[in-house]
Order: sequence, then structure tokens, then C-alpha cells
Amino acid sequence: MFTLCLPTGRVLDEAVEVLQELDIPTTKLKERGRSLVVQEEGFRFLLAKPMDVPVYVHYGIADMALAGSDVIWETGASLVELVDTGRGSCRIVLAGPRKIANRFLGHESQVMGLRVATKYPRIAEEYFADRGIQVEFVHLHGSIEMAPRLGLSDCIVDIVQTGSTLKANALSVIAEIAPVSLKFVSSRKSLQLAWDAIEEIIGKFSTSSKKAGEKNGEAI
Amino acid sequence: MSRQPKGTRTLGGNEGERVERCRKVFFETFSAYGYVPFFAPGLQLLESAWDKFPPRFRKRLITVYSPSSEACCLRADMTLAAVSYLSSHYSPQERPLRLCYAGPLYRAPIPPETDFERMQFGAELLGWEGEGADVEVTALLLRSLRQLGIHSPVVVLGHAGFLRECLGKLDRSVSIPLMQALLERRYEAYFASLADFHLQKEMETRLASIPRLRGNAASILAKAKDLFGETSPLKDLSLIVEALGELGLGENLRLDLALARELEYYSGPVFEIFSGNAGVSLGGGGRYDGLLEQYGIVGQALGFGLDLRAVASLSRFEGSMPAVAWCGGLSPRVALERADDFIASGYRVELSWQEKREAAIQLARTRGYDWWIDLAGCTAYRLETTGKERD
Repeated sequence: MFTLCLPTGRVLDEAVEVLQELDIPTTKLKERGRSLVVQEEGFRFLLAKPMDVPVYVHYGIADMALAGSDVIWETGASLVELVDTGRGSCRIVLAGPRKIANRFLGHESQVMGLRVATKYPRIAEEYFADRGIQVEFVHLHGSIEMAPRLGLSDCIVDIVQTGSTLKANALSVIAEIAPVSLKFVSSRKSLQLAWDAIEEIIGKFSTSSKKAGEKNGEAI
Repeated sequence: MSRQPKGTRTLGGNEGERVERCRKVFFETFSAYGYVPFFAPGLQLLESAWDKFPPRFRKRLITVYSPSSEACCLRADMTLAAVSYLSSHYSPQERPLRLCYAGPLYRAPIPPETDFERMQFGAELLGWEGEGADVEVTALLLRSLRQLGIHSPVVVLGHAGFLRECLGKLDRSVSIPLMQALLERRYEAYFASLADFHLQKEMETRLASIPRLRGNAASILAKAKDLFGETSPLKDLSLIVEALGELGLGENLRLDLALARELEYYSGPVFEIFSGNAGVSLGGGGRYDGLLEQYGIVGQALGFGLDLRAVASLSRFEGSMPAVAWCGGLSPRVALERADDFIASGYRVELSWQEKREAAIQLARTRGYDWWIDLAGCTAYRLETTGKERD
């Protein structure tokens, strides 16, 4: 039985589409109801919160997973990044109201001590520490965009897809931190002990990308 | 309530017992082959460790000051201490030196891990100039694991020199990101970088093959030789694979030519060990001749470290039967003598001096033992789950 961990929420549909393209059975997955563990043919699917997906792989509960590059970075999980599916594309950005954005154009002393709201404390800490900027972090779990508006923070570090939520909250992108996409990952153990199965799956990915004539999804 | 520092752990009870048994099996296996127990200080001077560790690893050092105001870190690695010991305590005529150790190492955890203190067992073979060291260490390690009831560990072999040779021909602006991607196991980033650098087609094809060269040792070696020729690293690996195969350990072996280990001092064959359900390796090691050179020593050096707690959690002991032995009013001399007889018969006894036999039986149940012994009656009873005892 090969165990695949998938993120719940809005990215799950894209994950299921990826599996379909690879001819991995998804019938029961689509009819799962409230089940969080679904078995079909030779696969067991675990459905977990996106932030938890890399953790299931790190501890060897799942052989492989589809995980966003944002949560891979944030959790720090030790795993193997095999293929970038190119799906679920968005960006992690630093964003804030215009007056704060202008301060980032000047000397770094202008931005020292800012308060940054984020659900990615590790990524945000690395970003600012690498630039020698000392800030204060507020760790939130959602609706990050409203934090500056309500005075909880000066700016935010969050993912952005179209930018419309930022705009609705009078925020603009100050800096791009990293692109985000859905990646096929495996545990370090499964890479070695289940390589044949993994190679078969990502081999199909390569074929499916070629069929689609897409550049993304360079497969191992 | 007494707290203990976050990221540390007290090992006691069954877990403590398992860890100790694993340590004992490792020490017995390796010391039978001339590996001498080695006890290094808990502090390392930062001035001697700093330049030996890569920047990513330095960030994980836990720095402290000694009472003499020397800048130190809590011992993060045993290999440096072993090499330093060899260089200062042994003349060239006394080499090679074989060391084994067990003890805590301290590194800031990378999430989702939380412990900064880890019990590690390891062995080092330092200053040998001929062949055989890699096979000796790997074979002894696999034997130890088998004795611990871990029958299907997998040793994944790679070669730091192979990667250096393949990537060393490239400009550093190209080779560094590629090496970094391999080290971080970000293979999709490795391929993306390869595509960006617009290398010559033949070179790109060869480099693109590296993360796919993984699996059965013999077939991967054959593929690698087709692509890269009979290079020195591949010859090293062939010798190891052949020798371990002759020792009946071939089934435990895989090859991964993209395998890169975190510490930069590795220079030759490297390996990682996998078993059980854990997603990460139990540990690993490899050849680090370059580190010896930094200490002015010629020859090979090889070592490994295993997470003792992870190994203990997988171990299966078929050995002594734990029991509570009720002394039943016997004098200490007689009770100890009779207990010795039961120990010789395969029991591991915990003496109970309580007056009532029921209290001794209850203690055995509390401990989770299957046996209790009446030393006065010289009889061992198996404790049934129903509450009855059977002779």
C-alpha cells in the first residue's frame, strides 16, 4: 500500500486533478464524504491541513505528498522535492499600506521595529533576518490582510494569488519573497525504499506534462 | 511539579532499558574488533570547530562560555573530537585508531523536530591508508543492527567524491546551486537550475542522470559506469558493494549517487541507514580524509553516527525474562545466591524484600512483567492475565 498525503481546502481539487492526470485512482477520493483516510486500489490517501502535509511525510507516515512550497519551507520538514507540478501557483509577499511601502524604499532604519502579521513566522523571520531588519511578529492563523487595517500590525507576510484581497484591504505588494506552487514530495526513507514506485509515478508526470506540452513539471 | 528544559528528554523505564541494551550491543560488537570506547568533553571550543562546519550547521550550534570564559558550543559532533584526539595523542606508528562512543550531541532542532539533545552511538576508524575500512565499518554496523533484531536495515551508499568530480568541472556559479539543491534534496530545483544554465548537451544529460541513479547497487553501478566511465569514486563503490555482497549483506545495500551529506568534510563514500517507519534516516556517515589533512594526518578516516533512541525504538530483544523475585524472609546472602541461579537460567530479576508475597506479585504486575519468582520455594510463576499464576 502506497500512502499519499493531500492538502485539504481549496488546493485539494487541483491535487486531485494532478492525480487523475497520472492515472492514479481518484473515484473514492472524490466521493470521500467526511473521511480523512481513503483507500483505493494500491493507494491510501491521507487528507490533512496543508500546513500538516509535510509533517506527515517527515515522520514517514506518508510515502509521498502534494504540498505547497510555502508550507514545505515554513514547516522545515526534511523531505525530498521531486517535481514542481506548476499547479496552485501564487506568491509569498510582503505587503502593506502605501505609507509603510514607502518606508521600505528608504534606509533600513525606516523599517526597524515594524510589526508584521503572518501565518508564516519562520519564512518571515528568515526574510527579515537575512536583511538585518529587526521586526516584531504577530502569528495569526487566517484573515491576515485585515491586521494592518485594524492596527494589529504595520504590514503582513502572506500568500497572494490575484491580489484582489490585498486591494480590498488597501494593501499593496512591497516585496516578492518567493513563488509558491504545488510540489510532489517524498519522504527520505521512501525515496530509497520505494524508489521504483516513486519513479513510476513521477515518470507518468513527465509523460503527462509532455502530452500537455507544458514546460512546468520537469520530472526527476 | 519539576520541569525540564524544552527540547531535552529523560530516558527511563522500558525506553531507557532499550537504549542501554542497544548501546551495549554496539559497544560489544565494535570493541570485539578493537574499537576503544571514547569519551569526549561536552563542550567544544568554537575556535577549533567553527571553520570545520558549513554555515547552515553553524547556525545550529548551541554556544556557551566555559567557566574560564572560553567561547564554546555544546558538543555538536563527535568526529572533530575524535580526529583532534588522534592528532594529539597518537604517533603515526600507532595508527590506525579505532574509537566507539555513545553520548548526547547538541544541535538546535530543525522543525518539526523539537529535541536539541540526541543520544548518539558512533564509531570512527582513523588513519588507515589501505582498503577495507569502509567495508569493516559498514559490516559491523549491519551486524549490530541484526543483533538488535533489526533485520532489514538498508544502507544507502553514495560518494561525495563522485558529486565533486561531476560538478567540479563546472564554473562555481553553476556548481554551487546544483550542489546545494542535491544537499537539500530539492531535485526539482536541481533540474530547473540545469535547464537555466544552458550547459553542453552531453554534460547536461550526464548531470540530469545523477538524481535518477538510485536503487539496486549492481545495476546502478553498471549504468553509472556507462555514463561516467570507470572513475575512481565508482571503483571505490564497486569494491565496497562487492565485498559487502560476499559477506551476505548485499540485500541490505542500495546505491544513491545523488546522496550528499550535510557536513562538508565528507570526501569519499558516504552512507545513510534506513529502517522501520521513520521518514528520516537512523543516521549515517562516511569517509572524511580531508578533515584528517587539516590536522596534518595522512590516511583515511571513516565514521558514522546513529540516533540511539530511534534504533532502540525499532529493536527487538529476545533475551532475559524480567521478573520480580520475592525474597520471602530469606537472608540477603541466600536470596542473592538463589537469584543468581535464576539469572543463570535466563531471568532478569528485581528483588522484592516485601513481607507479603501478594505485594511482590502486585509489583510484578505493575512493572508489566510476565514472571514472578518465589525464591524461598525456588519456583518461577508465569503471571496470567486472568490473575492466576502458573508454575
